[in-house]
Amino acid sequence: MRLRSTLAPFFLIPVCLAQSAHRSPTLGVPKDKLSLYVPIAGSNPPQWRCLDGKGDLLLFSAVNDDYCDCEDGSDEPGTSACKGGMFHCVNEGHLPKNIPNLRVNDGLCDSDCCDGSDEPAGVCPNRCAELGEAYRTTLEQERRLRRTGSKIRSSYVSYAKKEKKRLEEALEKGRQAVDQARLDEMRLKAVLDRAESTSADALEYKLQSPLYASLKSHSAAVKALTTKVANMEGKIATLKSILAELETSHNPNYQDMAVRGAIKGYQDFLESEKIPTDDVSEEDLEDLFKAAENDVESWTTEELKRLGQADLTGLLLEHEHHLAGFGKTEDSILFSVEHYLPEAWLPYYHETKTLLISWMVRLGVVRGVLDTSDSDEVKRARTAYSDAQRAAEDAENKLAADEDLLTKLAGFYGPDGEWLKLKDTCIEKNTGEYTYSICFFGLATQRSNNGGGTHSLGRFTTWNDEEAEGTLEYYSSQLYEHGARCWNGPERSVELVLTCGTENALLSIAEPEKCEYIVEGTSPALCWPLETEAQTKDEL
Amino acid sequence: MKLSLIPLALLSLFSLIPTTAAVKSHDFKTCAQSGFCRRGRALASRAAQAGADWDSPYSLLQEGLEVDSAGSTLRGRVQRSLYPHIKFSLQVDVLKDGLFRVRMDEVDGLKKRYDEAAKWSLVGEPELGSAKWEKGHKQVMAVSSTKDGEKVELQIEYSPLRISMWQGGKETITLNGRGLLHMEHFRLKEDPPAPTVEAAAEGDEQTVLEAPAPAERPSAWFEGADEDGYWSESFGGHTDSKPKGPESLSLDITFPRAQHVYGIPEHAAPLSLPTTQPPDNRYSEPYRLYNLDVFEYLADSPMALYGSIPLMHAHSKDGTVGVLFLTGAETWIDVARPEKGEGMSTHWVTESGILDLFLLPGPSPNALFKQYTALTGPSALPQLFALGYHQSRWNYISSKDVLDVQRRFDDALMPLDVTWLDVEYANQKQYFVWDKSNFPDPRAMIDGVAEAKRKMVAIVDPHLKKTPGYFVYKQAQERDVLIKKSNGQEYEGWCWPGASAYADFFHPDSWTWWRGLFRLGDGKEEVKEGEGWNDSTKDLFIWNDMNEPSVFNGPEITMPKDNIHHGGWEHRDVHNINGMLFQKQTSLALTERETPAKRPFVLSRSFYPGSQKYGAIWTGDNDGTWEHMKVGLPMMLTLGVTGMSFTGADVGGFFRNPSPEMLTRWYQVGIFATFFRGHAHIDTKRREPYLLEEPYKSVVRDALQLRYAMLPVWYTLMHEASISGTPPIRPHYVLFPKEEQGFAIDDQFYIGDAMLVKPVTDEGATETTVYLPEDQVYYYSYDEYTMYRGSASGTHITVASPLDKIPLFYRGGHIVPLRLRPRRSTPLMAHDPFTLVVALSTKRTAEGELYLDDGESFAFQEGDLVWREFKASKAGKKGLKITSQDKVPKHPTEAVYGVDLSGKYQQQNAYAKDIEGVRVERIVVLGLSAAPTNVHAVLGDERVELQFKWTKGSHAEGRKNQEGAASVLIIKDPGVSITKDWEIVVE
Repeated sequence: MRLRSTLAPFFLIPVCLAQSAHRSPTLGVPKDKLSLYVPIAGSNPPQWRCLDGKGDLLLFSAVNDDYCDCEDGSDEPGTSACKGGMFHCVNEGHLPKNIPNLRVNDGLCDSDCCDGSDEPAGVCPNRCAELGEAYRTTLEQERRLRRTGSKIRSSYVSYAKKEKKRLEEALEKGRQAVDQARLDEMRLKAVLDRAESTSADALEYKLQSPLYASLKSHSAAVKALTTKVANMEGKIATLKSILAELETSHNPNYQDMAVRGAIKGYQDFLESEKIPTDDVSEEDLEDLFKAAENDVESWTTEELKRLGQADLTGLLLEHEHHLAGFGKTEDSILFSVEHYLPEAWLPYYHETKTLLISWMVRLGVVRGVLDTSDSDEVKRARTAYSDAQRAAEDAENKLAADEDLLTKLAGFYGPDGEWLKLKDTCIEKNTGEYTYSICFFGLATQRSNNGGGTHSLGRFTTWNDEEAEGTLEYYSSQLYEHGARCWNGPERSVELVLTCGTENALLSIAEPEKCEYIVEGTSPALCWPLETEAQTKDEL
Repeated sequence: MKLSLIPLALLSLFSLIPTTAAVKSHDFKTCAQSGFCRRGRALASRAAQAGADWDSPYSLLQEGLEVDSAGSTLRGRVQRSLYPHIKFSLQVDVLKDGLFRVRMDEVDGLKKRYDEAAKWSLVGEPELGSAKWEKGHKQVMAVSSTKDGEKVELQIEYSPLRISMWQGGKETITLNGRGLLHMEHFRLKEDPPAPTVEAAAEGDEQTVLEAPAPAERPSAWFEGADEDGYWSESFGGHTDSKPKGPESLSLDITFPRAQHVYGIPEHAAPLSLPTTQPPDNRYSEPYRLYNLDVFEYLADSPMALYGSIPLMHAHSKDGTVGVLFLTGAETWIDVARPEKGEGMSTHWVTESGILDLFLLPGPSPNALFKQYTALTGPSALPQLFALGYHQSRWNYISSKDVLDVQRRFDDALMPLDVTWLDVEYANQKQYFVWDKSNFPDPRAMIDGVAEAKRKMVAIVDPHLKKTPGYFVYKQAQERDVLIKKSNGQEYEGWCWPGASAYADFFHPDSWTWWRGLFRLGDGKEEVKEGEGWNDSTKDLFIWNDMNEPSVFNGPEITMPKDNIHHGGWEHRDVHNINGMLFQKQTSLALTERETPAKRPFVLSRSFYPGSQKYGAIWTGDNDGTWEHMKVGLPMMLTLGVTGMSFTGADVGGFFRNPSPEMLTRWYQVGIFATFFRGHAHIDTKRREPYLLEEPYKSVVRDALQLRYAMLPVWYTLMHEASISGTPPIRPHYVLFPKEEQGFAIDDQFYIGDAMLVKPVTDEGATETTVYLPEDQVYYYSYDEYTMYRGSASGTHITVASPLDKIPLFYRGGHIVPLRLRPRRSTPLMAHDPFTLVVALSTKRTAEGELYLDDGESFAFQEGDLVWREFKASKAGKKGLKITSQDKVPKHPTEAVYGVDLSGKYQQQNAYAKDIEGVRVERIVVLGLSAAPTNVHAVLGDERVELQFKWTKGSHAEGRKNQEGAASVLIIKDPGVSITKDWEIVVE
């Protein structure tokens, strides 16, 4: 309720009702303002003016008379009469405190006002001695914790110092390595250029072979087909995931017939289709490959994809080489395919290779004898050049990474680089149903303890960027974002709130909003040395 | 929410899935999909086609027609030309104060029609009155009168049966005037006629011929040619077995004098009910009364919602009458405004039960409230805290979370009284059983909240997780108080806990058992499981949700109609009553748990006539849209005029994330609902008001503080409602029953008689048009004291309404008591001083009242209360006299419902003594014509000079229209006690 704020002093003052009889005019006034709460010198009867200087003079007895006269509320420091003011509790024996004046005279002994001055005399006991003592004990415990923690932290700091030195040395070496690698790369490029120009004419002739043309169009067809199949499988997988998600996570509150129908349909679909899942076992894969040998139609997408990606020119040259060296080993025939094989697929390399060959035989690719001329030389040169290229890039990457780390050591990894030690350190908490894990500066996950899956809760993105880098508050929380998306909700994310502790540990996990986690934890890295804050804590 | 991982590749697809979908209309029946409604509407259309040729087949037999000696009851037999052997009884009771009760039932039918709706709904057998009866050749007539002596006549024509009520020589209510009365009698299902078999003309083969078209039923002209939906019907994959066959009841009720009809909640519809039949009908479906859990309901629709009150007001400037059509079954109501001057015609069709109809003569809305209250009981006077702000969310996730919410309200200087816990507090949704991993010590948590005298509410729903490990379920099963399927086995439906059973609160054995579950432990000794609730304290109150009942896998998200309740009644008979009985028992449980008893607080979603006695209701799962914010107002006004005084809508909208502007405006709306709660769905972002950015945060804080400042007003109005049934928030037609322009207004309303508000419910609004009725009355804006004058023909004014402004006015001629010290919670205001705002009339008068008691116990029933009457009147040429007087001695029977305090009441009662020191700290007089020269208080023989402050401005007196800022006289600290008689003179 906003009463008109024109409550200027009253000009007619015939009688002063004794509302203020028992209240000191300085009740609720902080020490530094006590001098303002005295009558105007020489006034009789004693008078007073609102602290904002506005309005006419008041009788001094209007101060703390439980009626709001001043627009700025300054005449009622010790009552709740004026809206929005603060009441000062002296709290002798404990910390002084300002409380909102709406707590004054509300019948409750305010915990922030241990001297009981917020309520009429006799209502609240003075508990300042007791509370002050407890506060000091807690403070001392905290300090002990800080001391222990900061010892651990200093070990992190010395690690950072060593790392800094190592990095500086590594940087020097790294720069040299990059220079050398770039020189090698240039040299080998020249070799390759030479080799290619000498054989370019011969290659051009070979590329005109009808066989190559046919191979090329077949390859294009395979690519198109593969893309199409991949698109379709992707869509099916998408739909399946959505339905699986719907099945497990639909909210019965929606009470939605359509949702229930969809789930039933999905279950029937799974039952009837028995579609192989994405996680194909090794046995399954072998079976598939075997089937493919007998039936061109049943090629797996993966195989088709690899075929589409084959280096046709290379194949043409290899083909010549193969015909020329009839009876030699076939090991090198698919060298370019090998590039596209993920490591996990290497066990199936031989099967794949066999299949490819048989496929080419069917298509009539492998037939007759041709002169293989000088392709060996070009091939070797190309390999050597690309190796050198990679080496140079690797060296540069390593150098950049080291430089980045060195830059981050001052600031990002804490004022003293103390957090570097914790990079990739993972801490866990088992809450019964789930185990939560956070790897500092890495991934946060939620793992089901009942055989369900593991979900990403996000990757580290930033410190508390609402605070300035270098402050304790800045390093007191980390954000992990862009985790797995929730059904009908946001991507999961974690705010990791940290305090000083002797261990790197997670204390609690909460999900105040759907899929937005607040995780509390401790780390010695936050136990800054006591000296830096000692002054502020010594108010007592 | 823990959900499985979804690959990022799917994100694009998710953007196509709307985060929330609107109501699934196809989950709920239209009239055409409901057999008896279809039959009812077909009957009406046959009658319409027949026109003047249509005659009701029902007639009252003169033979055996008798009136008892007291002139209170007429009994007779009704016969129907269709099936002359089927007999019906008709009973008309003359009730006190000019009411009539009309009952009709089948006599000696194959089965019994449900006749217990009145037993659950009414406070008792209605008190009989007496009438003068005149029996004629064509009709019988009863003459009775209202409380105020107005003559009320009831005319019963024999053949066709037609009943009409007459007031002031005019017909006000007509029953069966259109001949749509039809009580479907119980019948046996006949086998379909056997196909006829004939020998073929040639050869040996026999030919099976089509059955010949059955001869048209003799009753076809009336009942229709087919047995449409008589014996079973299916909807949405559910089949209703209808073992009793057709038993619906149709009746047309016409209000020849009315222009508007109001009532029959709950619908998201305007206050003045739009028509559902031509001409110019806004809705094509009838209003449906069938308590349903509707997901994301539409903001403008006659579809059924969570509760049902079959009470209708019919109003015009000539008067107000009402009908209470007591049925517990699904009911559809068509409303039409035939042609100008022909009144309002309605058609009611209910699926089962007897006809039990109450005719309420009014003739004013206020008289109707009293008449309805006398039948169904007064609304409960809640504890004061329940009128404070309630903060809810699905869900506060832990004790820590709950305590954090307290701290943040305090830090933001926002008042708060109650913090709510939705279903997630309960381990596996087993109510009473806490999830101890997140709420390890519930008592400690509640005690923590109670430190600032705040309360908590936890949800307890009527579905019981069906697992032997759940003691509540086990006990209910042992006591055999669970609802059964049509085959007699325990009914199982799905709700929050998964497979659930549903307690049957029609079963008397369920009552003491249920109440026992809430018994408090003393905190020292563990209450044994099943003998109370150890993890509870006196500061924990209850929310009864999902009591329509909601059944996720049931027909229309509720229970099959052929389920069986206690006494063998089908669920179809009692469906709409079901939710109320649950709230009733919980409410009694909370009353019983303490000695001396404290007033209970139980929020229910479902309701029925009588629910007002048991607690608050809210408008269910609304949507965070401007449309829903808007429709919340007529929904609450409608609930108010049908007896439900303690109501509100979820502030912010349950679904979706409101914008800061929407949320802010919603708070400015919510503070004018008697039940004021912010609540949110689990999928929404947190939206506690302290999370808002500026300027929204300060604007919401102001709104919250305004609510708390006005608590004396709200409590006084709840007290009035508990006596007379007059709603705390009042639509125009209630205050000005003769000003036609206001009859359909439902976007602004009065708070009691003294304040008018037009909540802003439009996005981006910077100004608002307000309608001001009545001549000779000024309205003063509540913050600037700007004066506006109304007129009898209605005046529209435009006022600025930027985000921080609420178009709220003091009405001239009224005195408003406020408490201007915003505390953390309502109990902490118990000893705060009052400010009286005196808004003068053009005659330099004003009056107001204030009701106070301890705000928690039942001691007020013994007279421990303070009820003051304030009056301002002319004193001298320009002066004013303001007085405070005890209102109890003058109105000893109106201080406590049903109690005469004469002889019992003492002005110096225990409560009055407790607040003896509470003073009036300020009196603000608006619109005085001249600067005073002296202000003094007269306390007995003593004269005490007072300080005052005068600000020049416009005054309310005289014929000339005044504008601009009103003159303001502020009397400083008059030093008068709120409990005492005093007089203040302004000279």
